[in-house]
Amino acid sequence: MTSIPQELRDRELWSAFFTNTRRSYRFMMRQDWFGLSMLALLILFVVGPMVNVFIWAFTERAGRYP
Amino acid sequence: MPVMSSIIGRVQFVWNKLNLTPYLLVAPPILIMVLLIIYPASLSIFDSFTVTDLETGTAFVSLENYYDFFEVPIARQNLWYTITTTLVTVFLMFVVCFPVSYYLRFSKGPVSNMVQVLALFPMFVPAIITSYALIRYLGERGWLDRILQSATGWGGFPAPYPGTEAIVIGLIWEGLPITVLILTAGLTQVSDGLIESARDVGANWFQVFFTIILPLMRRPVLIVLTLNFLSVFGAFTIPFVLGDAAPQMLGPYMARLYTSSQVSKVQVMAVVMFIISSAVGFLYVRAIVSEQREGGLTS
Repeated sequence: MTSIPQELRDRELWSAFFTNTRRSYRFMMRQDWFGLSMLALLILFVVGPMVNVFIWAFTERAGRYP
Repeated sequence: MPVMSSIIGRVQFVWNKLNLTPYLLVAPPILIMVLLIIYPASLSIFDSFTVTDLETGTAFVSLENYYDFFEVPIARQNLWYTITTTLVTVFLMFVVCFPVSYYLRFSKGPVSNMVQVLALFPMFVPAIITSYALIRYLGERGWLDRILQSATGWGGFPAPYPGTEAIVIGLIWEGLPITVLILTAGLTQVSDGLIESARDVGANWFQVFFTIILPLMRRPVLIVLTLNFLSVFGAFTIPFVLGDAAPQMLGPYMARLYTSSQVSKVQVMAVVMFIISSAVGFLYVRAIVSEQREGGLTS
């Protein structure tokens, strides 16, 4: 019985992990592309300005301008 | 003691006979409305139709205040600007929010939950914070400009602030949660059974949408359009902070005239706004009443 070197085994597992993750993400994208695109838009236009406010508030209090 | 108990008994008898409890229950809100809304509004309407002769001090009924108001080109321009901005905002708000509501109605899962949370989030942010957030986000060399520049290399982002576009974006941002809530509630009233039966007999999603969902959504859509019109038409903070100095929406314009002691013009403007809002409010009330009469959408 031939033994697979640890390094090679890790690399294969690592690559399998990425392949599976990519596959599942691709499936999710195909399944819910509308929701994901809406989520991206909401993140850009709702979370974006608010993150800006938080950073602005904290940095101004520290006496620095963002 | 017997005399006392007989008086109490008589009072109870009269009370039961008159059946005053419902009137007493509705009295406080009606009283508050009369004292804080109807009385001052009536005074304002009355004042807008009266002119005082400075020499004799006598007041007489006249349309002079209205002539004065509509003679000024800026006032006419601001009125027209408010109406057009409101209509554009209400339309765009519906275009943005309807797909979100449609998605929330027919999707279940983590993405739909996140979309719901983000869509309702602006409800908890005060308008003044929204305005400053949007100034720093949409303004020249703002975050959006920098994101676009670093992602695409495009540096010609036309900053919407200050201007009409910024007002429209701000008002859509502010009205997003309530619009999504009302539309989702309306879509929830469209029963799954109707959609499933249509699908069973071979209807595709477009047919389901145009022949079942859209006709049943007529009333919630009318309600959301009228409510949005009323809130956008009378908006103050966002148009004041994000808008140009001229033309102005009526909210900031009224505040400017009021601080410069042109009260008669403000009263005329208030009456004009009241008439327009009443016409739109009538549509809302009619939609609500007809819904109550018919007992909902699906029953």
